[in-house]
Amino acid sequence: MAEFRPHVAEVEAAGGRVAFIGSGWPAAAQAFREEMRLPNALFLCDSERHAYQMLGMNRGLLTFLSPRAGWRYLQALARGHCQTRTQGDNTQQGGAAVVQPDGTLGYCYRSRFAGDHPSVTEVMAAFQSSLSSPVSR
Amino acid sequence: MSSNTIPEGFAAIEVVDAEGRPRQLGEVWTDRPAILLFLRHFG
Repeated sequence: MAEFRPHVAEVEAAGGRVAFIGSGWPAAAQAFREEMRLPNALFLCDSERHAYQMLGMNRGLLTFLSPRAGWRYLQALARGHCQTRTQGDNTQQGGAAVVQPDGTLGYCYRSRFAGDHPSVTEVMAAFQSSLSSPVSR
Repeated sequence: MSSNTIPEGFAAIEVVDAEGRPRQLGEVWTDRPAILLFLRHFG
């Protein structure tokens, strides 16, 4: 999700908010926030994974140990992204959602396997669309 | 991509922030649109 880092300030400046949600604990969230160099970003810990479950995020060993996940890991290594120590449930996949103040879910992506990330372009387009929605004015 | 509404009870989910303070998830989008990025793990 590091690819979203450059867009956090852009979203805030446009009148939105970005929240990074993980299944680990506050100390891990603080460490990751520092690693991401986003000292003022909102990091939330959903240690019981209630939010993941309610949005239907994928979870399970097959999402973690699949050939596609292994291939994405090798691609990330080739780009110089070496995964450090992790905190949280490694079999829990992530995703992204765009939510408007009235509860409209304008976008929801559920990662299918480890390394399957939501498209920054799609997420930002959904966010821009939410700004022009009457409920966000 | 989907276009609908958040599940009932989603906004009331209790989380904690990086400082350990309890928060309700719905606080994030109460007054502005929000992008929620669900991480596979911290790290």
